[in-house]
Amino acid sequence: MLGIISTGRLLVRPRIVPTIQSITRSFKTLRTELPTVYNPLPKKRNGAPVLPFLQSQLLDKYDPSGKRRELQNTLRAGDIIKVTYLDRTDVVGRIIAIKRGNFNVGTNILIRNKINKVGCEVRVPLYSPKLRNVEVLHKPKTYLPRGKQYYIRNTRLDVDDVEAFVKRHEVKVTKALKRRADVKAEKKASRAAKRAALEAKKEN
Amino acid sequence: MNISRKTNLCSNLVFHRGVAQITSVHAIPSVRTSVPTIQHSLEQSNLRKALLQRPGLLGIKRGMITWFTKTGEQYAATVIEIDNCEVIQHKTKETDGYYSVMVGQIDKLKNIKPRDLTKFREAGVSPKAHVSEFRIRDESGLIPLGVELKADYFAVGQKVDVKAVTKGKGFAGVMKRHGFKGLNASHGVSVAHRSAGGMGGNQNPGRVLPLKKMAGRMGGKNCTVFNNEVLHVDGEAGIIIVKGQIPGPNKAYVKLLDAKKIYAKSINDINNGVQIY
Repeated sequence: MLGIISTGRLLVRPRIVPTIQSITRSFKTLRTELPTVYNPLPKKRNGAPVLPFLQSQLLDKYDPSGKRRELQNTLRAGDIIKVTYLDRTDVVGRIIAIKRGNFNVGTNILIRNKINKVGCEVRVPLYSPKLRNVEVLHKPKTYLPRGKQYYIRNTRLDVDDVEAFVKRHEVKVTKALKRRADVKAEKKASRAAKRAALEAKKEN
Repeated sequence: MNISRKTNLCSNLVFHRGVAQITSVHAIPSVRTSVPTIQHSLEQSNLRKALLQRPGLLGIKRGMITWFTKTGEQYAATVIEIDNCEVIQHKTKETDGYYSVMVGQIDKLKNIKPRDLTKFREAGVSPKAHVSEFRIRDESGLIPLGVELKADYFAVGQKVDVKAVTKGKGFAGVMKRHGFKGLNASHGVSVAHRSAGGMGGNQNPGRVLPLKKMAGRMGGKNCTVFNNEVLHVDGEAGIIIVKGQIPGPNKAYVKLLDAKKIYAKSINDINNGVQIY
């Protein structure tokens, strides 16, 4: 019953009376209860990713002393190495490239040599159980540029007979050392002679 | 004697309208035969299928590594992770018409439909990101619900089949997709060096025959590699190493199964009475 002012009646505000429906209805959320969820199983490897976990395991297996891992970090293209296998055969060559991977057992070294003036290359898997030892024969003072030196093949920078080179170098080094020692000894002798002469003068 | 003969004759007499017939003494009315096997039935088709005895594993491809054998041989090998692979559901002949085991991998707690959640609750396992089905031969291979299948489910030296979806190559030409040779580099060929060439006849048959190899979408399809050797198994760490390559990119979901060809051959041998030593 809404009164209107123009008719002279009083303005009556409508009272909100709760309907029967709203009283009787009970409210329910439509969402049903979610089923229980079981906890997941404990994480394997303490949550470590698979490949690094496995590679470190394999590295420990194939390289228990850590010697090869050190070689992987210290060797460089240009070094001359001697690889000895379990059956006592060996290969000598200059490193052209090292294929490394992060924690990778597949690391291998490409070495090049000249045998009867023919270029020969061998790829040596560094962590192979066939290897007995890897020996560094020579490290140059100055290195050629690039980590992978494939460009030296059949150029003036190419390797010569590596074994002969190492021998020559050794002779050179020993000679140089000997010369240095001789010079030192000479100097020492001359100094001693001078000192002796001085002492003789003083005595006189 | 005479009378009995007469009665016998009478019993064999068959009267038709206007004619009397005698059935032959040698006539055989019916023969009882064995029940024929219906070859197009579910049971027979299941027997023909060489279904495996037990379900396989679900895994994730993680990448390839170098593998050395004890004698120093070097193999390319693939690493597969087995991440909380658990049995979720059984399908039986009574309810579904065949036997199979639903297996799930990788725990995933968020964003799973309530309908699926009930399934995992019934099995007593946490919700899984990837669920797949393995058909099996009979009820003996139904592994109890909620059992975790570890990587040492397979033995080292065993052969396994690996199923996965191959890497998608997009719309690929005929040379890449089917290994066609392409056309000449010279001799007047222009702008068609990688094309297919002829598509078929001219007036006869007057159309390109169905299944003609053409350019199109390549990869992204199911692929199975058979008989890959298992090189290494670590149940605790959930790692399987398989010799050789498997389809799909890294992080792809893969299915590992017992070698089907070897299994089928042994079954055939048993059925054919070949002695196995």
